[in-house]
Amino acid sequence: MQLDDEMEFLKRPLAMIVTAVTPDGVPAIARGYGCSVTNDRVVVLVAVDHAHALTEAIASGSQVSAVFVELTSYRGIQIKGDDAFVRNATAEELEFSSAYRGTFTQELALLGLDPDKTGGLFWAPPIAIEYVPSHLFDQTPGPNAGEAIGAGR
Amino acid sequence: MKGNGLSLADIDDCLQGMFPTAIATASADGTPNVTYISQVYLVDERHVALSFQFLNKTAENLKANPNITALLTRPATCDQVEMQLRQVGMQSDGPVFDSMYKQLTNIAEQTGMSGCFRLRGAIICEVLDIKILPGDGCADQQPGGVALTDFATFSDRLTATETTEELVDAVLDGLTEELGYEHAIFFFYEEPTDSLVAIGSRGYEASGVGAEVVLGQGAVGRAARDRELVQVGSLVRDQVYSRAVRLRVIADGGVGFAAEVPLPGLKNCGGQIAVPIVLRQRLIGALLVETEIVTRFGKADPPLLQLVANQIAPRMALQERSGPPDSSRTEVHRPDLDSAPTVFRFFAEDQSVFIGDDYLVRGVAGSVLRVLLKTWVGEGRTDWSNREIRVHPLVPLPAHNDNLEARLHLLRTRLAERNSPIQIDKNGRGRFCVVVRSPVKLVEV
Repeated sequence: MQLDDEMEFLKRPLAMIVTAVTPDGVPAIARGYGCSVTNDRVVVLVAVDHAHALTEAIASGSQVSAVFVELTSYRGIQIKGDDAFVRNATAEELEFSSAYRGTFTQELALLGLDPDKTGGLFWAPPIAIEYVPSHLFDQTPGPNAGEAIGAGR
Repeated sequence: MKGNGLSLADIDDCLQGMFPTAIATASADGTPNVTYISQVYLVDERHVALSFQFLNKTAENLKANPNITALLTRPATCDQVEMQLRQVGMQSDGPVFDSMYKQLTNIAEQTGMSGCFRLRGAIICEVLDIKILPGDGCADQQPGGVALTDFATFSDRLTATETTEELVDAVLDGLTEELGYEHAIFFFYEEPTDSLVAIGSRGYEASGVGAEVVLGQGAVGRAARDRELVQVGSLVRDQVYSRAVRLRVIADGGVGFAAEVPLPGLKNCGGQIAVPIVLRQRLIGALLVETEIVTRFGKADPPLLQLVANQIAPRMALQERSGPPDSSRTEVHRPDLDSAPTVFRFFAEDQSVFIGDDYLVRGVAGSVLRVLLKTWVGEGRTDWSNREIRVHPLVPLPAHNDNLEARLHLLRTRLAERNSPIQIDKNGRGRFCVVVRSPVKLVEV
């Protein structure tokens, strides 16, 4: 799917949340620690200890949805998709996740959060959730929240 | 509740609204949806309510599948808490809705977005399970509370004061030194204009004495208006959130009141607690404490500040009415008559006084200054007792809790800060004298 307009935004230090649904209809949720997005593929890194239910839901064939929010502007998008799977993070992704921790901590500091007190948000080691994007939604708070962006493009 | 036995009481620090909460739902065909919400509200020991504002997809999903998974953040450590919820209802009125509406209105009013934040409903959820996720957050879960001995020292400070002026200083010094609040402002209530006036502060570059806050404006204005404590989280975060909504909504917003003396405030405010000072349902004043550190305020701070306000209220009322004045001590202050007179302009409409074009003070304090100037110019009189001011026909004091001492303190501080040619000095208990350094002229507009 066409995500070119979002690429620059997705390179920023964004807050990320990934979800899938278990076979008994319970949503599973985990925080992301860095992402890599192309038009064909979304990869979000999550902490393995936080994502047991999420990985099980994905293993059972659930669709995946991830929200990406810039905390200093609240601008946000949600990318939904299919054909999801869980794999180990590559060395490059681990390095990327480590850099993300630094830039996201700086972002939190802009909101008044002491960098020494944000450790709880980060928990290694990350694993990769990979899926094929199919739908893009506006997630910025306001009356348009939840509306599809660029339908048909 | 199943799981590891954690209760809502164990994680209620997550429910203070400091961090947005992510909630995930699923549609009838199993498509997940995730979004952030601004409020998770504690209903009772087994239920919470989620704010339903812009959650169009979430609302649709919940009609098909009531399961919700929420990811919350502990403010002191940033550890994450996962909650399994099941929707059991939706309310658009009643006490829970009203409380959530009030919290939301606090954010909207704080950021000049009144009318833009609509609470469409309170999603009532049963809590099925709570898990604290492993993390490398700090061990100390809550900011340490104040030791009782420190509060006793603070209380002693107050007890030792004899005048409102001393009380204001004791409260502000005690707040910063014993109780550890780095930024604090003391306000008294100005009944004629239904506003709060800053009478002293600690921890700001400018004192802000004389700054006015209309009741209902900002956290402290709302605390005074509603006679209840108001706590707000990071203004930076709220402002960012409001800005995001503002960009999407056509609204005029704006707080609409520009005080002549700017109120001191933190540029990067990480939290505020405002507490009214009330005696027998009568508003006397208010305290505002601020922090730059988002995680600074814990559960113990609101009750502690309530205790502080409760200590101040009777003492302030007592000192306003205490004992007969000391006997008069007449001192004659001769101004330097060679210099040109400084013009004080009094505006009857709001009883404001300007020195030249610069705003000085208004309301009762303005009326008092007018009387002092008028009497000095006419009679050369310098010595006054508080009682004379209290019954003076040109000084419109309210019948109860007139806060006269507080108003005199405000006037004295403003005159001193502006290096005015006319100053007020204390002249014994319940008395003061006017010191005129150079000629003054009063113009009534």
